[in-house]
Amino acid sequence: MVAVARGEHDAFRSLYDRHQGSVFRFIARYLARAAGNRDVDDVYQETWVRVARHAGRFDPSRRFTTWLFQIAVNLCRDWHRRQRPTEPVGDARAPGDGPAAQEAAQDAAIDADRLLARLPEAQRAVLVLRYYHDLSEAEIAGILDIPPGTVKSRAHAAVERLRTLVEIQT
Amino acid sequence: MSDCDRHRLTLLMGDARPFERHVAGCADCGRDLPSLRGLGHALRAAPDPGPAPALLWAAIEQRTAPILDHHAETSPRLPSLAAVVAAALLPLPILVPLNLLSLWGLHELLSTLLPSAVSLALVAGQATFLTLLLGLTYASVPLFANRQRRALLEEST
Repeated sequence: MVAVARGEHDAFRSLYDRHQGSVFRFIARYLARAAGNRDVDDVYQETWVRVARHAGRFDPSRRFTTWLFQIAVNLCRDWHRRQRPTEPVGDARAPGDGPAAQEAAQDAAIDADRLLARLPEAQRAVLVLRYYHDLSEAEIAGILDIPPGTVKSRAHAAVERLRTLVEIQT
Repeated sequence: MSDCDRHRLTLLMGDARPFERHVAGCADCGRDLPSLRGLGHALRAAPDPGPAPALLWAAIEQRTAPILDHHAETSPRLPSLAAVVAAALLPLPILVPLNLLSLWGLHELLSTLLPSAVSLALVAGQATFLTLLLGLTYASVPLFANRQRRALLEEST
């Protein structure tokens, strides 16, 4: 990060290569069905622009991923604030080999996205970081700037809410 | 996080065995098992949305290049850590003989007043203290240098 703050393009590229997948996955899941691909791409781009712009403010005694996810979380929150309450968009990305695999993957994506979209934003952030990124409660607390106890209660509430939704559907 | 919460999360993450053992003694979790399994399946079945499409890098590079160029122009020319340590080591050839000379003088002075063994012990204690002080001073050089570099970088961005 010191090299990025000095304006070294190669350092920024290597940082990007190392973390692009996890940041993109997080933003795509956090914004869930509320956002289209274009919005996910915009938030993702803006995250990296902010990393470049504020590289000098990064404290090396902290973990880079915590700082990076904090930027992404703040941008996702800003995005949510700018949107109307719920505007589901069903154009989830559909990776896969053949058309059948793509279709199945899309169905599953819609199911998981639909479930995640039903969670309040604060609970969704905790669940995505805990479940899909396997981060510890302490790390999530650092990223979301909330006490570890709140992480626990939000994770509990998120699982309970999703479980109830699944129960209703089946 | 309660025991139940921890086990439920483990189940959602795909490891069913600890939860099945837990269910044997927990009626609430036993009742919720089918819906938890359904939830775990739905979450796991979702395809991976990453990695980021390769095309996005081009757009990001285009937007960040001017920012990085600006950093390169405005960031202070900072000496490397090795250069800072080397500069700090420069006065050492003067400091060490000076200290040795003062210790020798102290020993000479004390020997006129005290038995030689006592004087030697006192001077040895003083020498240990000086060595410790010098060691701590040099150990702190990289820490202070890093802190100053960070402060300079923060000012420049």
